[in-house]
Amino acid sequence: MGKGKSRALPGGLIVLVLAALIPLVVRGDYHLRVLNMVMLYSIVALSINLIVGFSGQLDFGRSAFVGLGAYWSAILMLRLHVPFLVAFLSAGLFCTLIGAGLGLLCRKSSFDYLTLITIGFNEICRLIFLNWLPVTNGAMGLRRIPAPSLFGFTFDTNVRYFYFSLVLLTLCYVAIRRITKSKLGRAFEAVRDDPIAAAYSGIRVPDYKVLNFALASFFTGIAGSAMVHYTQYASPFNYTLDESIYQLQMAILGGLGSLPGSILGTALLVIAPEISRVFYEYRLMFVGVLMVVMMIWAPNGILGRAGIGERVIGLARFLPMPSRKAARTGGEAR
Amino acid sequence: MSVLLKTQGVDKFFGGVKALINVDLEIREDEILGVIGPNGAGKTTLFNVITGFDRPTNGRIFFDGADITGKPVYEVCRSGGISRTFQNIRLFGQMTVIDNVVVGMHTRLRTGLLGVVLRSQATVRKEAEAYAKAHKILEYLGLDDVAFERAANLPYGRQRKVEIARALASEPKLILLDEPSAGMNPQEAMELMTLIGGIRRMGPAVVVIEHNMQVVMGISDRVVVLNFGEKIADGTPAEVQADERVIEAYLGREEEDADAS
Ligand SMILES: Nc1ncnc2c1ncn2[C@@H]1O[C@H](COP(=O)(O)OP(=O)(O)OP(=O)(O)O)[C@@H](O)[C@H]1O
Ligand SMILES: [Mg+2]
Repeated sequence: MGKGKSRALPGGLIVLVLAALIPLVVRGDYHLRVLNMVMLYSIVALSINLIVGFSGQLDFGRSAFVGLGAYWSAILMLRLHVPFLVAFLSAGLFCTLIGAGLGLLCRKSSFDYLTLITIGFNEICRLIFLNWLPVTNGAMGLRRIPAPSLFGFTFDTNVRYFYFSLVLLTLCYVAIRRITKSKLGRAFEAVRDDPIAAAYSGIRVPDYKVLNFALASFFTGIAGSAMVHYTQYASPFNYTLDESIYQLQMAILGGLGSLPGSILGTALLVIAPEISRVFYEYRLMFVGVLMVVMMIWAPNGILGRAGIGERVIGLARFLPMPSRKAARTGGEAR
Repeated sequence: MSVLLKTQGVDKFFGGVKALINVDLEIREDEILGVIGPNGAGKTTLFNVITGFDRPTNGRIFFDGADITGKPVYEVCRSGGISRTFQNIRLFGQMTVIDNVVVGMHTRLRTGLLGVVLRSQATVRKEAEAYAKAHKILEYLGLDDVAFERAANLPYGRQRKVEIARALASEPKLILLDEPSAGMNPQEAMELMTLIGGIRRMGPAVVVIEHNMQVVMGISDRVVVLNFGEKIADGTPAEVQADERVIEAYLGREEEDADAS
């Protein structure tokens, strides 16, 4: 089955090689920092995409899981002195468990409440981070969190962390892509498009919603861990509902259901506040307006199916030729 | 001829509405059974009850020798079980046509998370096999040219065929078709009937709800008539057409039927 591979790989490989060359051109610490944050937030956006884009569940509290991964990993290294790799991977597993627990809770009540439950959970986590002084150090946060070190090599500069983030993002991207192209991913999409027809195809719909939530939480968790070891500082003010909404918007702007879209959306929303002070100050307002505007005119984001990207390409196609075979006749009946 | 599915004294009440009343029905493993009846007679409800979507108020349902009363849909409809199409089309609209069909193989396709993420040889092989099989089904239904189109973008008649393709993908023993020719032009409808005969010869027993009398009498081995939730006739097309109660049930309803089909 070389077909899919040989077509998909070179494109991705070229992007990867080009990305790996960036530190040769971009040398300033500030710029590298921004790029690193783009890459790490991209993993969060990808995990949101897995939940919202592929499974159709609206999660408003992802930053709780970023925080759980971050605090778990930081506390394990600071207080229990475990090696980085253990702290890092166990942060992912810890979030998977919490995600599964929350998913099971939703299954017991109804997934209609998932959005509300994620909002509530986000608030609960923030309060725990803020108030569980002996463990989280409260509002002061945790400082001097060690930089990652793997097999004796420490990622303690921006350039080193650039490569760490790039490899991590690539691994997560490939894993998520493979999941979405598998039986699992198809089941997620089937549940999103028509849960009744999904059940009629033998899919245990509630189980798959739980699975989706747990699986995505793994990626959110390791992203949280990677972030906290990069900034070396954990603060309860980083894991708020505002933050969650901002992260959700990264996935929506790029295009739900499109993995490159998640990276693009993240890049736009991480870089914009850096470029413009005004955007930074009013970022939640901008994002709010953006959300409303997009829901009305471009619910599929930039790179999503039938999103802005496809429309622009479609328009370009339309100009020289009399359009492709009319495939849209009578699409929707009833 | 052995019996594949049997309903025993099945009632289904929705509050005061009696959608099914004491329905006894047998479906044999090698027949095409037509189900007819005026609007609201309980035909779709019969499918819902058989597949576990609606739990019967009273009565039991046996499939392939086992009591399946009260089992969830995903259990009843696993591969090798029952599959169906819907009166109001239910496709996975954002997915491609071929992915819709592969979803139909869900319980048959056994791949694990680890194999998927690491792209194990077994996973790659099973996926390739599934897509090859889906291609064959699409070819059989004349849908291979739109395999990679988004399902929602197809015209109505072809969407109905995608539903049939997906239903076939699980290699069911019994396939339930709810007004498969609705929204098709007469020529498409005739082709569909030939196709249903072909499906029957491939293996599964077929139950088809159909408003077009000519069509249903033409392809069915046996016809069951429902009226206000009750089974009022059960026999060969000729027998059913001659039945007093059937004629009565349909008299004066002619105009309505013309609208529906
Ligand atoms: N979920 C439900 N809740 C309440 N009433 C229902 C429900 N499903 C069906 N009914 C009622 O049960 C009766 C039978 O409906 P059903 O859909 O089975 O009829 P049908 O024979 O398929 O009709 P049609 O030819 O119009 O498709 C109708 O009176 C309908 O209103
Ligand atoms: Mg009906």
